Formats: sequence, C-alpha cells, structure tokens
Amino acid sequence: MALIRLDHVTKYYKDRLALSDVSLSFDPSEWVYITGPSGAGKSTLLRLVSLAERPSRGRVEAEPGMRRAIGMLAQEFRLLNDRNVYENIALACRISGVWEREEIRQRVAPLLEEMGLHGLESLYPGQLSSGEKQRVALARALVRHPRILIADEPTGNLDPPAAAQIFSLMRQYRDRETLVLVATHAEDWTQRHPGRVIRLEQGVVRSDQARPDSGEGASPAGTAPGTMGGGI
Amino acid sequence: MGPIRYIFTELWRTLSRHRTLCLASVLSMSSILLILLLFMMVLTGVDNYTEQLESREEISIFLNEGLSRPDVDVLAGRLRLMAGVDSIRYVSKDEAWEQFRADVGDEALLQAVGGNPLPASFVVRPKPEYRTAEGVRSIARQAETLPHVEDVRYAGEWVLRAEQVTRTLHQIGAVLGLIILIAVLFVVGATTRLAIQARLESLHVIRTLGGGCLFTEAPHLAEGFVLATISSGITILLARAIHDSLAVGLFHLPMPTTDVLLGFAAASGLLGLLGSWIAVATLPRKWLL
Repeated sequence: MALIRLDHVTKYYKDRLALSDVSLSFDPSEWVYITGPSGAGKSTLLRLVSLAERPSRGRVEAEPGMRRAIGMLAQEFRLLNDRNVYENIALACRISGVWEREEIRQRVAPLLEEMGLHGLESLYPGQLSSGEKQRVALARALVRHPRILIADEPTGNLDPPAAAQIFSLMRQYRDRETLVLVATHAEDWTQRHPGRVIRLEQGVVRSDQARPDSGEGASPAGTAPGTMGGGI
Repeated sequence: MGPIRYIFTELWRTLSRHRTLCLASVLSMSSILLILLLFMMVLTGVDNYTEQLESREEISIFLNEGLSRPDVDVLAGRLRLMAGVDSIRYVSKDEAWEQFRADVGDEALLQAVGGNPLPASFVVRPKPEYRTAEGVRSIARQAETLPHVEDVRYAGEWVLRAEQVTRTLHQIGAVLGLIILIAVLFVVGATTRLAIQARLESLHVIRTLGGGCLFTEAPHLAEGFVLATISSGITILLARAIHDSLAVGLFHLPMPTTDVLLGFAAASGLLGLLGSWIAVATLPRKWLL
C-alpha cells in the first residue's frame, strides 16, 4: 500500500508554474531519487510530499498524522547554532511529543553511535566539520523514527568521503521500512546507490524508472497513481 | 523536561542572549510603570484627604453678642427642626475661650488678646445622609437665614473643591493609565519583535521540524510576561524607596496595600503578555515563511 500519493498535482507560486499535473505514488522501503536541472520542481515536489505545502490543484494523499512521521535533511544542515549536538537531536524528539528525558536519551544515544558522533554530543555546530554537521542533521531527522526521510541535495556541501558516508547511513534506513526521497543534481549517486529515479524538467515528470540491479521494474512517467514506482 | 520547563529554558536562553535589549526594555517599562504607580499613590493620598474633609461635616453657627437664654433656646429649637440636622451642641462664650486656651497654650499670647473675644455658637451635626459636601452646604445655607446668626463656618466648601480636584485627578489617571498601557504594549511588542527577528533562522528550522506554537511562539509570550512582571517588581521597590524618603519630610505618599501591589504586578505581567501576543500575532507573514 502506498505511503503517500500525489494525484494530478499542480503547484503555482503566484503566476509561476512549479509543478504540472504530477501523479506519483511512493511505498515504504523505496529509495527514490528526484533529479533534474535547477528550477525543474524538485524542491517543490519534496515540499508537497513532506506535507509542508498544499497543491494548487490535485490531491496529496497520506495517512493522518503522517507529517510528524517525516524526517527532513537539507543541503545547508539547518542546525540550531545555540544548542549542542545532543540538544539539536533531542529537540526533534520533543517536537514529536517525547518529553521524558530517559526516553529521549534512549533514542538519541544509539543514533550518536550509529552516526559516528559519539563524544561530540556536547559540541556546538560551529565546532563541527561539514560532514559531522550533516550527520547531526541526519540523526535529528531519524530520531523520530520517520516513515519518510526527505533529503534535499543532502551532499551538496560535503566532500566525497563525507557524502558517501551520508548516503551509506541513509541507505541503512531504507532497509528499515523507511521511504527515502533524495533530490539531487549529482546523478552519479543514482549509479552508485541504485533506486527509483524520477526526472523532472520544467515542472513535468519526464521519466520515472527503477535501476534494474535493485530488482525494481521501470515505470513510465504519467502512469496513474498507485501503479508507479511499486516496491523496490 | 515537560513543555512548561522547555518554555522557561528557552526563555532563559533568550534573556541571556539579549541581555542588553532585555535590560533596556525592563528599565523603560519600570520608568513608565513608576509614573503610573506614583500617580496612583498621589491619587490615594488625595482620596484620603478628601475623606478626612468629608468626615469634618460639623457646622459651626456663631451667634450675635449678648443673646438672652430664651433667644438661644428659640434658635436651638429652629435648628433642630431644620432638614438634615441630626443633633446640635451649644458652645458658650466661656467654653469657647477655654477650648481656645487649651489649643493655644501660650499664656503670654492669651494675655495679649485680653478679654474673651469669642462668640457663643452652635455646633450642628448633620444626619448621615447629609454628611456630604452638598448636604452640609444646604444646612449651612438654611442656618445663615436664621435670626441672631453672625456667621456660619463649615468644611463643605473645601470638601467640594477637594472632590472636584479628585474627580479631575481620576480623569487624568484614566488617560495616563491608557497612555501607559499603550507604552508598555509598545515596549514589550518592540522587544519581542527584536528577539524574534534575532532568532528567525532558528524559528524557521524549528518550523521545518514541525515545531508548533509551543516551540516558536510560547517562549516569546513568556518573555513579555516575565519582563513586564520584573519591571513591575522594580517599580514597586522604587515606589517604596520614594515613599520612605518622603515619610520624613512634609509630603506623604500612602503606599498601596500588599493586595493592590500584587494586583499591580499581575496586571503588568498580563499587559506584557498581551504586548508580546500582539507582536507575535502581527508578525509580517514573510518572516515566518
């Protein structure tokens, strides 16, 4: 069953058309790349999928309460500079309604370990490298146990080893039933980490296909919702 | 950490980050509130004075010299029949002189005066419903028309003037209160806006994470409340210091009761809360996007 569906979605910003009649469906455990040139509508699509915006036309269908089950990762890290690593991650717990100190610790501690941030929890973002900052941002996105992880150009500010590490960490979460959506310019990642690739141009889905080596079948762009991008 | 503790942690973070701004805001509000509190104290003083005047409702009716006892009795009878008169007391020339001697106490001065120049008089006490400036005045005017009456003296005229002054001061107080209300709202609003502007980036991040009012607006609402409450506390301390320094001098400002001061602090806090709420509610939409 689809986790989230876009049904003939069109989005305007004032008079500018950002997305035009897009129908897509995403399942749990999918690894999906959104590619295309600047201005193609990648970020708009992610904002709609993250339920942060509503479409001008069409429908975005998701389970009730899905918004709290979405983790976001951005190119520019977006950490709170006046809080240390631990507090940056813990804040996401509190926002999702977890207030118990012990429960927060039980959620944050394993992530710090997994992300290679152990020992850095009391440092502030200004004291971290770009790769470490992005790992903190990823930990913050994952601490809420998201069902959808949305990453908008997550490696744009990282050197190749750090970028590879981020991809590898995100990959682990795809294996935990999390839908991972990655918007990227860097199409070489689609070769290294196979998955479904949706290519946007001028707000229109030009192609939507899965890499054969991941065992996914190709789906033509514009197919009716629910029939596209089935399980990876 | 529960939501309330989170709000106060964030509040502390904001206050410590914007120390100078918060200090300027507290000092501005304290100055403004001090004007209001001092005015309230002056008003209370005037009210007390007016009440004292109103309590001096007795009317002295001085009689012509050389009245016979029957004339005095007739006059007493007519006074008792007058509307508003509760009781009367006759003060003879001798009693008046004895009272004067007791009041002055200086024998040399009394000898300089020579003989007893004071007239006999009636002291009239009005009925309770006539113990107002208007009531006292109506009795005095009736007494002036009676025969053998030399002069009528009463505090009513002063009471009337004091009441007029009090009414005017109350009106000024209402206008001043309104101006101060607007000023506090403005100061708190400006402080809240500056604090929000300084952490816009953080607020955007928190919103992106799905943080609602509790994480974005509530700490700023608490900030307005706390800053205004602290300001009112400082105001009360300053007012107490002014009260104490005047206590040894000629003027005296009555210090409001603890209940009134607690009400003043609570009202100030709520005013701060309102100011920050207005600031948050009227933020430019583009700030939040």
